[in-house]
Amino acid sequence: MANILIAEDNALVRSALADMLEHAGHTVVQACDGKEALAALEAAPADLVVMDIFMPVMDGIELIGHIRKAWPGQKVLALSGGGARLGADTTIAMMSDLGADAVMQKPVDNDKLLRSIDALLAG
Amino acid sequence: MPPTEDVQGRATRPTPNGVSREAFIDAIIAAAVFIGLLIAFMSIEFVELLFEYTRAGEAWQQDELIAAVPALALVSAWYSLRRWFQVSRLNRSLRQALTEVEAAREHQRITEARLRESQKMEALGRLAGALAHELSNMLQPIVTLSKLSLKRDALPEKAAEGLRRILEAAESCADIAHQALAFSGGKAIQRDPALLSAALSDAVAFATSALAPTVQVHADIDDDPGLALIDRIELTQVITNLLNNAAEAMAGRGRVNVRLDTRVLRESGGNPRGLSGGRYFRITVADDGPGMAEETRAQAFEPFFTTRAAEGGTGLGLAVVYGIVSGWGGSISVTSNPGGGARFELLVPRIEPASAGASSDQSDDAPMV
Ligand SMILES: Nc1ncnc2c1ncn2[C@@H]1O[C@H](COP(=O)(O)OP(=O)(O)O)[C@@H](O)[C@H]1O
Ligand SMILES: [Mg+2]
Repeated sequence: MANILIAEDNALVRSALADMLEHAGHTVVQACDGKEALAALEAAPADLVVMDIFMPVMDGIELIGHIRKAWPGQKVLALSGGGARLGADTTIAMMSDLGADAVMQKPVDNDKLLRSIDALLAG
Repeated sequence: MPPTEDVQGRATRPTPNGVSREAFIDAIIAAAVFIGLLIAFMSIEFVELLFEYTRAGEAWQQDELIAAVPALALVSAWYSLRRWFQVSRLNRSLRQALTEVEAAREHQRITEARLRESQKMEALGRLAGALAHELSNMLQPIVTLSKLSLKRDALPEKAAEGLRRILEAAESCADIAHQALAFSGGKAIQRDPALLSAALSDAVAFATSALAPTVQVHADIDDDPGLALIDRIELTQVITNLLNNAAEAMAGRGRVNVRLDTRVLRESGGNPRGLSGGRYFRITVADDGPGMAEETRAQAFEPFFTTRAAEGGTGLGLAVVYGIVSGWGGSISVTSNPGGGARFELLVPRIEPASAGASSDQSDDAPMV
């Protein structure tokens, strides 16, 4: 099972995802924004970063840029709420362009998310 | 009309009708004087009397008098008549200027209304997109935790049933959020040139298959080599929504005609939809249901506007259609008389096969809602 870092500003969303991933056997570290996520990655590497896109302090767009520079091989899965400011598919296309290994639209189904995570960790 | 300015300058105080009446009276008086003098000169006694009188006082000759008076009358009649013609010409140009001003005002009114309408739709689009975003976000813990709880051991059957219902509600909520996103123009779908006539036939066939057999759908779609930058799934969504609405309006019984033809829009003027000039596919979906009152018609495309709330209407169908068609760079409008059915008209930019390759990179500029 894997070490997973969750970067998500909404506490309800974050803890629900953490519960689910822990129930599936993963170890989870939580971060409230991009800055915290970078600090967590510096402290300890993660097999996978699951990130929200719109967050305060440092959003997912900036976060993925930093990750790609510092840890080019880092696996990243982005979760999009629909991208109020940019539009759903624009957001998804942009996150893949920026280097997300997978982008999923919220609300994502538990089994689908777990399957994607397994595929990313295996690949 | 060059003299608009001095026409307005001169004619502001006396009303055009007053001026022409005045000049007309002048002309009548001059004519009367002229005729009167003519009669007088024909009567010899009068001439003699006049001659004697003038001879006594001043040294006038009869022939001078005879020549001078009618000449004066002629001149004054000529001036009056000329003035009368001038004024009526002025009148005509004034009236034309007024018509032009009216037309300009009407044009401005329509332009402003269209601008307001598109700004309103854009604002609604942003609002819908923002709401959909928040909604999708908050649905995540609901879905995640319900599913997770369903996996727990020794869960009482009643609790499991409750969780399944929560999930069902969350799913239809997510559905609404996704539709609102579609309206907000959130979809930046890759649109490829497609044979519109074929895609439309498929979409109509698909949408019809889901309708009651008592709804007759008549498609009048000829093969056409013209292409359009659309997405087939979106087109199916559009036609499904329009046909479902028609079927619902006709209470499941009636006839819907779907027609495809081509229209050419002029670059400016005669084009009430703010589209640029060029060739357009026109898709018409007309039903023989009860139609809509003007108030309903005016709001039909707004998200969450529905007259069928009691039957489970969400008011998102036409908003989604509007968002999709605008994303194609096209337009949609509806005309209806209460009792006379509803007629939806879609205009979709048409690319001719020869220029299909060249136009495909224009897709980036396709206006989004
Ligand atoms: N073909 C039609 N005939 C009459 N009214 C219609 C038709 N299509 C749409 N409408 C009106 O427009 C409203 C909005 O339609 P729509 O956006 O699809 O939402 P909904 O179908 O959920 O009510 C409908 O509630 C109805 O009043
Ligand atoms: Mg509808």
